[in-house]
Amino acid sequence: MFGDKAFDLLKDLERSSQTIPAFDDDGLRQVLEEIKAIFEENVAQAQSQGQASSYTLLHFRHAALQRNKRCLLAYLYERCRRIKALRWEFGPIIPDDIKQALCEPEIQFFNNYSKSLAAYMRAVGDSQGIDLTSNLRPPKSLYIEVRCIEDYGKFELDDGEVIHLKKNSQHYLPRAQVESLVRQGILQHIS
Amino acid sequence: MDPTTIEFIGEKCMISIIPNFSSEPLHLIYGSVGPFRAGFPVFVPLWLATHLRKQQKCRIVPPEWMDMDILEEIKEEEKRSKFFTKMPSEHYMVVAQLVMSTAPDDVPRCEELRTVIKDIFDTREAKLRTSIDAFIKGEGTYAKLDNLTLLEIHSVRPILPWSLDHISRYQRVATASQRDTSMLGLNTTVGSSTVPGSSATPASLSNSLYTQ
Amino acid sequence: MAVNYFPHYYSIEDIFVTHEKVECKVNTKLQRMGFLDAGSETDHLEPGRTVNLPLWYIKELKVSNAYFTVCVPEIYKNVHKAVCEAETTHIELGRLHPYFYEFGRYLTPYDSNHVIGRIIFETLRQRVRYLLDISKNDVQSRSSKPEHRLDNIEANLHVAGTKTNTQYINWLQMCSNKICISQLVEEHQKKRKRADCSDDENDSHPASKRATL
Repeated sequence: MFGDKAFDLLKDLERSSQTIPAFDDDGLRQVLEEIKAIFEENVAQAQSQGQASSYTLLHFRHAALQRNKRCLLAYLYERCRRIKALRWEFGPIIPDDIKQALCEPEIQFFNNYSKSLAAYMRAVGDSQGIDLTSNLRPPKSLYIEVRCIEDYGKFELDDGEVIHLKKNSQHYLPRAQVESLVRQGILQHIS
Repeated sequence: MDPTTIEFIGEKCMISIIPNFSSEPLHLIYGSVGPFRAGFPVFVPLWLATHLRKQQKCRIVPPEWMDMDILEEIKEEEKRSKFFTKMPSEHYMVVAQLVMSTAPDDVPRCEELRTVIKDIFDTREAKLRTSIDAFIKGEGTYAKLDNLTLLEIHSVRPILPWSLDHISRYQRVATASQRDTSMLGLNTTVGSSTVPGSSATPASLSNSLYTQ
Repeated sequence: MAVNYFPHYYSIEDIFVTHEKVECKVNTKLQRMGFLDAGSETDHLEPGRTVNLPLWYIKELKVSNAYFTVCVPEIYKNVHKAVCEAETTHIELGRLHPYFYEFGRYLTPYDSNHVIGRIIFETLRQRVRYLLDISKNDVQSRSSKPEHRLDNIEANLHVAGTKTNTQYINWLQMCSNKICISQLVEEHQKKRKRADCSDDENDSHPASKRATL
């Protein structure tokens, strides 16, 4: 049936709703080919005379073409939506294995989005800027106790002090400066 | 809204503390507090009270309503009343939670109080759900939420407004498709049944006001 | 950020709904459309045959088109009685149809009895209390997702409701002030762990095969 291939693209996306599956170049191409084929058939039919009785077929094909287009656009749109979420959850750098699932224009999109967000965050908040990705909940204390989940290496605090973040080591650090590391799963907030 | 945000808002409530230190007034963004004199009670925002208490710099004076007799009475009144009764504080849950967890030693009969307050909240929450049900099944177009506190309102968000969105969406197709037919006895059979103790007017369940 | 479901052009959920097929009766001979009918012996679609057509096509047709008559699915007729008796909370809606409400919404214009619109409206109206209750109780009992009990719209509401209640319970237990690992990162780590595990399994497989050979 027309439109089934395009639908499969979306099914693939929905199956892994928490991640981004690999960009389906091939699937996309097949749908584009189907659109092209439908279009050419319709053009041929419209140009041939005395085919008024197959108007329904023309109409059906047209609906299928529009359907394919909608599925493709929804596929790209949903991926962009998830790519934007990556910026908020992973920070400005995407892990390599996720990056591999993106196509070149999508990586470009991420970078542009990241840049606009950074520019905006610099612009607000009395010329000092505000990091909108931090303090998602009202902070209760200036310092927090954290445990290191993986070897991270050296970490420099704002006051210049350098800390060595080694797996299983525990630290008492300024909340504001380590929040993103906790969000990224490198540190764990313990009470 | 996340309960942590509601807690943040509730932390602005003023509460009395007895400091064990003396100091000049503190000038904060929102205003000044103090001066502090050791042994003399002073009103400060809740967030400051818990902060000082954690550093052993004060004793918290529990608000008047944090008392077994008063709360038992509120609990009974809440059970008796069809409406939501007025709570002693707009943020009674937040105040109770913060005071009782940071300074359990400052509150006499702390554990018992905790249970009563939880009972009151649960009673009100159950009442809220019953009135929501009556509201949705009735023909009302709006409901008044007098005396509900912020935390209680947020216990049904966003599920309630979202459900109402959907209901009105399907109501539109229902009325559009039914405009010229008056078959189906749906209107008369649905709506007033199933709510325990409800009469024909759903407004009797809460102090919500309904319009036809 | 969570928002309520309100379908638009890019809504994947709406695309899923419109992918559903509906039984239609063919009214006139349709030239060269035999491919829609698996049992057709000619190139054309013959009058009197029934075919399953996707909603995305049907919604492009005029309700009073001369080619197809849309047959309203039995499921809506079947819940009619329950709706009248206000007994809908026992229905396993998800099992009936995964997109019970939205699918029904699309079919309302084709329903000559004008009941579907009323049915979906009343069904949801009757079930909101149930949704509020289970999203509270499911948090407390930590029970599994009620997949077959709920339709897609209801499942989304249920997720929102359980989230609210989980946040509240965490707050009561004073554990909501912790900074948490972000959701996507956590999923990503889990996935990586799973991948690592299955790699190990793959490595061990040839060994075990060799042993049995």
